[in-house]
Amino acid sequence: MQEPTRRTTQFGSALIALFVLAACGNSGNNSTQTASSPGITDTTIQLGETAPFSGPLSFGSALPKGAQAYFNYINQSQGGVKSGDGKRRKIDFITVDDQYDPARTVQAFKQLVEEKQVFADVLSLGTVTVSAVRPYVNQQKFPTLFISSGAAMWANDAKTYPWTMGLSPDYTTEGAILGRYLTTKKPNAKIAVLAQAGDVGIDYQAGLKRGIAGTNASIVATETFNPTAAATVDSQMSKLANSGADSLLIISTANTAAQALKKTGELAWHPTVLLVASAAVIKSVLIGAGVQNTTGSIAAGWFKDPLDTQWANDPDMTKYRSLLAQYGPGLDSNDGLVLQGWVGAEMVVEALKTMKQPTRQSFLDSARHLNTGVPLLLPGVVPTADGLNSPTMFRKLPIQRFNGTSLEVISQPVAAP
Amino acid sequence: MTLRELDSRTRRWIAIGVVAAIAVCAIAFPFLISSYALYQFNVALVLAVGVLGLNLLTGYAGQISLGHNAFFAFGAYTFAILWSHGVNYVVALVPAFAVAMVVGFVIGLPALRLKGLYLAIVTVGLAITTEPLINRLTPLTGGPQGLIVIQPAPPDWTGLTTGQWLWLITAAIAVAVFVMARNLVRGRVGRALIAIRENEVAGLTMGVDVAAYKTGIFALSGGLAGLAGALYALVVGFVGPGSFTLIFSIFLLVAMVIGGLGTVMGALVGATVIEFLPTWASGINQSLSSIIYAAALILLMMVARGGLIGLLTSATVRVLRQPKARLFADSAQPRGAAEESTTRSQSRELPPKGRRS
Repeated sequence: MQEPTRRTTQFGSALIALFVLAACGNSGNNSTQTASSPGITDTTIQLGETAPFSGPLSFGSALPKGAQAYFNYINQSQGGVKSGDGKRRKIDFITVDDQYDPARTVQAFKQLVEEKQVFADVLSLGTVTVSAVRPYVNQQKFPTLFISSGAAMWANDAKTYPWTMGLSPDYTTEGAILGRYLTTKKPNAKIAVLAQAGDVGIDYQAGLKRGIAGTNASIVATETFNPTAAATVDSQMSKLANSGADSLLIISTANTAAQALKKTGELAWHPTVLLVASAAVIKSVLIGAGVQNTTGSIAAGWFKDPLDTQWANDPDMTKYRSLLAQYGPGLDSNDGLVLQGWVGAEMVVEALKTMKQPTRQSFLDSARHLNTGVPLLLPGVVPTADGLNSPTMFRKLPIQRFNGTSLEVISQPVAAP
Repeated sequence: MTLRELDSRTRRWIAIGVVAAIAVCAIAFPFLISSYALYQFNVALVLAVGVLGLNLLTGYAGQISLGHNAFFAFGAYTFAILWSHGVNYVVALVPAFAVAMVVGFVIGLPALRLKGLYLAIVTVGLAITTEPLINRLTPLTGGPQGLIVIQPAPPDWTGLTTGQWLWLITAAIAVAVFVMARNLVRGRVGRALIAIRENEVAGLTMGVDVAAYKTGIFALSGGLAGLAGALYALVVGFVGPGSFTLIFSIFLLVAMVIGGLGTVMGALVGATVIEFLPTWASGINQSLSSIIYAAALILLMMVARGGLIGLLTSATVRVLRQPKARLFADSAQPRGAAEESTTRSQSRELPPKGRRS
């Protein structure tokens, strides 16, 4: 007999709870559209970024923090950025945590586009994360630019998805440049490849193949490992050492690269080592794995490593450190991700300067034709974006060689074959 | 005047009225709120279906599962793969439900022999193999890259947005599932499940086919989680292994407890809370969001030990000046809510009663 009463109260309770939450969920949506595109007025421009602020990859939040520090500097010391339409706007930078989970990235982008109605997204971190929202942002014609990912897909699919563009050098381009350089030094190189499973590994290997195509160099062995598993790569390294290869390309993050390089020493194997950007880290890899194992390693980087002693007295690096201390207090100027965020933000500001009208289309055009260098890039490195003809930010990268203390730049930036 | 004093026909009309009001709200909802808020509510509604499945298993039948992320994943991937190969998206929901149900049935078999924490360990095994399994089946699942799920465009004549259309689909399915669950737990099945939870031997003596009910409820619970997984893929537009980790199972458990253990509507409230609470927490302070989230959960558990449904029910009862809340403690009464209202109505001096000795 009491049933209906309990049921009614339960239904009622649920209903009340839902409406309370609905009220909460709706508050905070107060953006108004005053200019031709959302998120931009005559005095401010709202930019969004997604990155992992919590979860196992939360160290990645150093990147947006570095970017925020640079935007603070621009806002406070220059009153914002002056665009091609003559208006000076302060940058309102809105970051959203996605925990590096693509499903959350989807939600974060819906929040940025539909709720916060920001002007554009810049520097968002990750390949799997941003690729999950690629159809959505392109359908919305929402600029998602300077993505902190070097996946080849941004450039390869630029005609289908023009509204997404990567910042980091394309992995395929980088792989090709490394491969081509190797063949100039060792025309008959026998190459062993240690690659992480997944798209990053595939992109780099495609680049390496392109780089050595038409030469006598060949890939003699390839071993993969799962980047998310805790296992060591010792067995893979032993197999590669036994393959008779005289060169080794390591496609991994810093931890695995250090492990692999240490193992080459234990195996008394001394190949010419090629390191991808994420592995070419001075302190933890090149010095950490023992300079006797790493000296002579080759990389093709794009910005200055704050822990590389050759930049210790570099005026740009000194200026960066003092500005970071002022505008990003508490941030570690030696953290490469902070610096990468700072450099990325500088490039965003350069693109905003050349933006002709306060529209999303205009910002996209400006980013896709960015040709202005910024101070912390390696000597000679400049963005060479050229619309859909050349849909990557960097087409040319310099070769670097580890001399025991520093990653010395040993060539002018070279283009991928 | 309390609801109890009304005659049965009036009460039935009130119940029908409430259901009708909910239906009207569900249909009007997508036109009243922003598209982003609608998306969040849609995710919450989808999660609620999964939490309901878990609640039938854990809240009613007392079988702990930490492996519901796997059922979600089976449903989500089955749906995503079929839909991308041209199967109609409504039709593809059926195999998503069925596959997860079969997996649920298989996982339910050890539950016949294992109890409590031992069973929980088995389900943990299922939970942690999910992600490697998805990565192993890369040609089918896309591995770490995940699969992008194209969202169906609403029929032209409706004039709805995709978000509104998806809401109506999920709302229709959720209402059906909730009504089914409600009818299920209020009858013979519900009593049998509670008997299994409270005292298996006693249940057996009373003629409850414990083995059949246990495997059956595991299968149904898995199937509902699979259905929720499929709807999740549809609403989010993406499936990836990172979404279905052990921690996801734990959040489902959290939602279940926050909403109210052993209550049907608690699943809806709990899912809404776990969908909105993290957003709310990171809106306050991004770097402290996890701590704020955790603190809010602890606080919720302190003020609402019987879950939010328990809290709201007992509050409503108090407002209605129900003389003896104890009267609600009938056989099919949810455990949490009953304890909450009885302890509270007896004496404030009494120490809180343990959930289960």
